[in-house]
Amino acid sequence: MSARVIASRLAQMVLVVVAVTMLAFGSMNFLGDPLCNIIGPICSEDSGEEFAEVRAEARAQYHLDDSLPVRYGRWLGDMATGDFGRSFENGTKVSTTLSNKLPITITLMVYAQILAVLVSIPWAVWSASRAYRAVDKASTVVSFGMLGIPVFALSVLLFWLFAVKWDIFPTRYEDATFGAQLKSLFLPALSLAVPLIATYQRLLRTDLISTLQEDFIAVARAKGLSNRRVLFRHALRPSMFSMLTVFGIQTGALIGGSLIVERYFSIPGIGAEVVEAIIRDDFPTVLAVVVVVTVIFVVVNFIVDLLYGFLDPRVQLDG
Amino acid sequence: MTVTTSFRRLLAILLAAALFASACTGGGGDGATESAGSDDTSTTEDTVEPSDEGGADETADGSDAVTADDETVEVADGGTIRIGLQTEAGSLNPTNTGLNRGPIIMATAVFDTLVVVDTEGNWHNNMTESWTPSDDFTSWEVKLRNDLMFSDGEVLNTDAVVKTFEAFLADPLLSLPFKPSFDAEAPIEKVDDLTFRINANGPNAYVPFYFAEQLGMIGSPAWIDAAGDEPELDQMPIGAGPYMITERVQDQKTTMERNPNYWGEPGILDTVEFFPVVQDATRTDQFLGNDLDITHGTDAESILRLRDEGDAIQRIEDNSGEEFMLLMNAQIAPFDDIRVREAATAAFPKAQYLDFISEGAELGADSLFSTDTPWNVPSLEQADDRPEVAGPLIEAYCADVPAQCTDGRIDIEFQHDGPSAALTRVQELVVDAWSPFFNSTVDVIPNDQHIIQVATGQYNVATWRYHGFSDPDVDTNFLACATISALSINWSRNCNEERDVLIAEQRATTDPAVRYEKLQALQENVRDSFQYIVATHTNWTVGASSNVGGLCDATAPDGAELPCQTRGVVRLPQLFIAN
Repeated sequence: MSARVIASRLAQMVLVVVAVTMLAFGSMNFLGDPLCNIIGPICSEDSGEEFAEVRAEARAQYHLDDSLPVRYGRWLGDMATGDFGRSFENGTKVSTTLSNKLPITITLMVYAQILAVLVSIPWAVWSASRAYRAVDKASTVVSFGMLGIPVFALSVLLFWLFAVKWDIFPTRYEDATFGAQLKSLFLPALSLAVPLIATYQRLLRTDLISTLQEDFIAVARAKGLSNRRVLFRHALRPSMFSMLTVFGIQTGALIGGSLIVERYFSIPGIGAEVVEAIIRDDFPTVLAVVVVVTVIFVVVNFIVDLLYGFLDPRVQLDG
Repeated sequence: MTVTTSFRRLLAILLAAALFASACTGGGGDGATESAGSDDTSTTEDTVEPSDEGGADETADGSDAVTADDETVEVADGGTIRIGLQTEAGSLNPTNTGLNRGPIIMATAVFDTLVVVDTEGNWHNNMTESWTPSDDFTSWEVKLRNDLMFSDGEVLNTDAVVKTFEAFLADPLLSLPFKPSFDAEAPIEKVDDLTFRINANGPNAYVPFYFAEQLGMIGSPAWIDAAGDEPELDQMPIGAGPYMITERVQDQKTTMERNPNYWGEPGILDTVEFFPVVQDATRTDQFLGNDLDITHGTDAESILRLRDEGDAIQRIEDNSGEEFMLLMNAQIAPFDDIRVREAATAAFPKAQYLDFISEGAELGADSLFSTDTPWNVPSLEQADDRPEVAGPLIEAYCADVPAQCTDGRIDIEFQHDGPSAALTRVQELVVDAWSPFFNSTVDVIPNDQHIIQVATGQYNVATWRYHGFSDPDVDTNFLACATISALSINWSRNCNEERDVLIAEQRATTDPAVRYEKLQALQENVRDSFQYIVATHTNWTVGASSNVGGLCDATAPDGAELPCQTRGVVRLPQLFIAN
């Protein structure tokens, strides 16, 4: 990929992020007067003149008397310098909240993706090599079952069985050591990973079956290569386009899933934080999370684009 | 070897690797399930039986032996207790945040309080030496202990108290319930370095009670100033309590260690860890899974689960306060008409509420004062569960005010905060029971908006949970005419001059019998004016592992016995892990 193409893609990413922030900023501010979320019941003029000074101070501090575009411009400028503002809830810096919680959520998401990839690829290869046999059909039933289980239901089931009933995993997030963190995040990551496993398995199996019918596979077999070598060295890589595309797209779904999973498992990540922030109309926190999530999403998909070229050198992104 | 076998093996290896990496590394529970013998304080429903532990003797290894029910429990110095909290604090600064029951456990450990309230409901000096009222009880001269020091090494003196008190009263929201009780011009005055004067807004024999909770928490002046400029410091408060925060990640974990400058008996535990777990079921799971040593909460299902554990855990229930109620706005139609309020009360399905919502986990309420308090009037009954009374009242009202009615039923808006599954169940039950008499439009709004609308009187009928202070005098502020304004803490905006007289009279007397009589009349007045429909007294239940000792051993400096818990709040210095 040429530098020009990369620059073009980066510009597109910036545009996407700016468009999303405009939409988010506008909609949050159209929902109501932020003043009430900052100072509570005394935001209303009906609460009396005795609180007029408090209202005026808050309006000045948060620039609420400026027009929406001016406020947006100021917020965007601050954000570009890493200043996400202060939470309406307690005045703490949103950047502090993000730095505390974002790594936990990213760890959870990466963990879920790793579990999904580790399980789905061997499973898909195994299924594809037995395509349309009884075991493949059984595997199809299992994967559809996994796709059909809602994340919240799976969370409840896994938590009750493995943490409460059998006491194999802790019921609470731990981060004293990296090992403890991995152990306490296993069930939530598995909850997120199960539908991913099924999705990746279905896609990869289908593509593999198609690839295995290509002429170059027949040539490879004719050369006497082992089935394992044919599958992993020759068939797997060109069959991963669909899976890779969905891998990028699923980043968004994972973030959505983390809202549920983090709350259920009491994981102090950004998913749980944004749910609370939305409930209490904490605009700065919500907006910061929206920006971060958008950036993660576009970056991951940008990397996926780059990987297309790695999977198949014939892919010309600038073509 | 066939390919099939190798794939199977590969799959098995990968799965095993993932599980091994997760299941076999660090962390995990500490298996803290060893029974402490019979030092537990499990109680029967609705009763609290303080531990009869006592008579600590020094043993050879220096630990205290505490006798309880014929068994000896070794009080080990040190250790860590993990406490699950129902809510997390947005801020731990008592001068700018209303601390609810989760955060106030942490705040009590960090700040302590000027006075404490014993199991009989009497106040005692804690960080103070004396409270001397004027002859007419309009002012109180308070002398501080002379050995108070903040955890940062600064001395806690009158200046610190004045600074904290003034900062508290300067907060427009926080001070609303308390301001009416103090003199508007000079609520507090410095007398000397260890003495200050509190000026009440009229004769008040119960001023010390105001300082038994948040208002009695004194912050380091340097910290209060610094937190004003840098709100992050609200998370790391500096107080003079038995513990100090050493690490805090909001929404995740707060760690406290003993305050070396504490004036009283130092805490036994080395470390206390707090974990906010807002999902009630999850918090209970964590407790029963030994990942927490102490939990607290009000959720009926969790309370029932803790009861099911029987003697395997310690369980203490407190039904003394925080009434769940329906507010009826007496300033706007249709609830400005007492007939409508009476009809709504009569049609309230109390029995069904207790069956289906409380599930036997809470006490039904007829007034603001629970049977667990000395102020309860057993003979007083709220006129609910009488739908036959509602019909004629509604009929008469609709005949007089047809504009407020449709098809012979009164049009109202039923408001609650949410989304909340529990409150939705309440709403469905009540709206259904009211349906023959009221056309209810349901309005579910976020909690902060709900509070705004109630405080500014923009509602018809709304769900609410409040009251239950250490002394009823604070509760009465919410019933007074003076607290009805643009921003009202008389939530129902129901003014009654006879009631105001009773409030002043109960406040001025020191005779318990006279006070009881006045408070009885007050409760009857509230009932007869149909100000609230009270449903339940909230059951705050604390669960503790069997090896948590000292839960009921807290005492005031004068030796008075303090409650094992007060509406979910446990004190920490006397807690220990039993060997």
